[in-house]
Amino acid sequence: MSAMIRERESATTAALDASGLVHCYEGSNALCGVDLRLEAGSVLGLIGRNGAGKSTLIRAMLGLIEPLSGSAFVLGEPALKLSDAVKARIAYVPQQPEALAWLTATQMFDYLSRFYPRWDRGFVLRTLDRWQIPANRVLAKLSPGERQRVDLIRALASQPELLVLDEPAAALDPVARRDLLREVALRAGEAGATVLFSTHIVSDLERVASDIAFLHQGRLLLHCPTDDTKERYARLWLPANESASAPDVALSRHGHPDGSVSLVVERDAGGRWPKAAELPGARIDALGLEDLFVEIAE
Amino acid sequence: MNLVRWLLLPWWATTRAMQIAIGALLGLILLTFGAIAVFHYIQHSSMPDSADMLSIINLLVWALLLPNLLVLARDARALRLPALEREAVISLGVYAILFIVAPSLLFNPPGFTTAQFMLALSLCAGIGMAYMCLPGYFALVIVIGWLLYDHAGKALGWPQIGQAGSTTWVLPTLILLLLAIAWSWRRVLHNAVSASSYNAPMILKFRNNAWNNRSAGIGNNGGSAMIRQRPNWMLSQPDLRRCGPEYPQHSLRLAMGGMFMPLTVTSRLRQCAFFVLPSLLFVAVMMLLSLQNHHGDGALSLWKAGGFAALVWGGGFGASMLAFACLMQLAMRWRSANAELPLLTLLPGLPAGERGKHALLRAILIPALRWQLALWLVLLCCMIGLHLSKSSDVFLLLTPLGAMGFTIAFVLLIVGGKLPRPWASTALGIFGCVLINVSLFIPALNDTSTMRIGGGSLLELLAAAWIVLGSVLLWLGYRGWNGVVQRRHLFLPS
Repeated sequence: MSAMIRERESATTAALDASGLVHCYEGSNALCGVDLRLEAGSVLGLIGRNGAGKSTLIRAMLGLIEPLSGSAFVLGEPALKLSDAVKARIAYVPQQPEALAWLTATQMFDYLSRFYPRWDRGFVLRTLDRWQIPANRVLAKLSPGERQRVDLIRALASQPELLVLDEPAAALDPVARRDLLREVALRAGEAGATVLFSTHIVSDLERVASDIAFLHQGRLLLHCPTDDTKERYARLWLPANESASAPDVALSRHGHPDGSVSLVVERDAGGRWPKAAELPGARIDALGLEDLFVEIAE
Repeated sequence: MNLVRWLLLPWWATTRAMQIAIGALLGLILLTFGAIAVFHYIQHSSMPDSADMLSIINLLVWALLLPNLLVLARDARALRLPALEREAVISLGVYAILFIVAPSLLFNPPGFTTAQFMLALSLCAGIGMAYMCLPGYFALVIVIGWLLYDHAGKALGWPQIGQAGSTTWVLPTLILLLLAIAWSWRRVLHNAVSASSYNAPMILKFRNNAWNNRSAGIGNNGGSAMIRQRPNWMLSQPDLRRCGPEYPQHSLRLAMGGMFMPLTVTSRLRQCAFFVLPSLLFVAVMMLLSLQNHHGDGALSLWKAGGFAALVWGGGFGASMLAFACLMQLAMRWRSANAELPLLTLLPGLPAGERGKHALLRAILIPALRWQLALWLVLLCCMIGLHLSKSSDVFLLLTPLGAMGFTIAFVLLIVGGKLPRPWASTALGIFGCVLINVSLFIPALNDTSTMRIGGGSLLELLAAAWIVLGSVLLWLGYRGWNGVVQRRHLFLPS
């Protein structure tokens, strides 16, 4: 019953909605009860170190793997049981795409175009030409960057309402990366598409993401609008004599050889820093997105 | 001690996986020799002579272990380590003394002079080395050459290895092999050939991880690396005419690729030619020799022994190879998270639920089983032509059926996500392989009905083994089917 209510609720607002996702590989936890909700029309950048569980989270949210526990909904439908109507509205580009290596780009687009009702053939031709991809060479013989671009064209040509990209810029050169980000921003801005993309490149997040989610060791540590991060999080440094007063709740905690401590702290609901920030010698440092990422991930 | 170092050099130059494979193979050879000895003791017949055993050992050592020195020499040259490069060559010399010169001087097999025996061992070593140091297509030349020697040579009265006059053809063949190896060695050392090229020696292809499926090979996702190595004219051309939501089975086959993929007529003919032409070449050579020989009944018996045996072996082994290729390919498809599975999971228009499951199973099983069925029919025709004993007929016909059983059971296990642990699958695979091989040998054994092993006859033991295999496959298939029924959707990785 509650699942039905949840399904109905999800259908109204969230493009992606995951709760309590747990998954493990060969005994090690990849996801430890992750809750993540992606509102329609938003661009969420999922960031985290290698092995943090980003790809697993994306796969579990899209129903590409069956999590050990938890549930995931895509455009209001259970991820493991999507209807054709919802599938036609989703596009996903995996990290290092390898699918259909035996086809040429032209053959692959010809094949897939028959399944997507809103396939944009003109976009395919224009982009193949603009990105100078040899369309008649089998995909296995393309470079990793070319292969990734072919898959991005495939994803965008279906004119999806929900675009999920797993480290899409990993194999791209700076020009292609900028082209891709422009395309993502355009899709989100003009067509109102919802975008979820994972990345290591913080500058990409700052450029296009409206929200960021930070995944660390299978746990979601923060999820907020990108613009809020500078205001909401900071590094609190406490001298050695005050280190015992460090707040218990912090996103990260590092002890230094001289006994001082630095922590990543968050403002409370009233917009105040933890009380320890007012201790004598304590210092609050504003953090850029990259510094915040490094502080938490280290 | 340099000698110990030279002896260990090829072992050090071998990858860990290859070391395990060599160890396993040597274990298997020792077991086989042990079994042969026991068998001959039971049958009170004479043991196979030492010449045969030494030839086989030579062939394997020079094919599996020593070609690694070529890779070592290449790497040593690339790293500017000339001393190591020299040592690789010296190591080859040491092994030549140990495995060719020493046995020739120490053993004196009946019917051989020392020089003849040395030449025979050198030829085996040369064949082994050439097999790995030359491009893959030379393997065909070697196999055809061996068949010509084994079948046609006898009919034409060529002196067999060890007989007087054999030097006239053994020596030139050996010189040719050595020249070819030297040419390939030089080519590799000067980096004139890339490991991913179609012309690369077999040893470089193995080193390129093609054999253990890490980055290439038959089971790799679509064999991306294998596709990269092929020239464009050798690539399969997919038939895209009947794809789309209206043709789910055809579409799924296209997405599965490899042996499942629907091909254009030209491409299908070309693919068939790759498999059929070598067989036809063999058959044509045999027929031609029979005609030239004018031996009447002798030629006919030669034809029967050679041509039909090749078809029977092709039928038996062909079905097993097809099952192996199909399952390896499928297992990798269902293991790879970045390839076809996510694409198919999110592809709209494919049938869902039970209909989808049936369409997928049909798309996988029909292409795999139809070729196996065709081979079974070929085998059946051979049976009729060969007039073998009933027991031989039954066991020979069981071999493709066993391969089909493996295919069905493991397809269900892979797709249903119920694949047993690797050691269990491997153990069952080895059991099946041994059973199929023994069953294929039945027509070659004389009077099998009287052969006894332990308390029962060989045939009873074989029948029992087939019943065990059939039961296990049936149980595994049932387990796999349960997995298929229970899965939320079939494109979840195993």
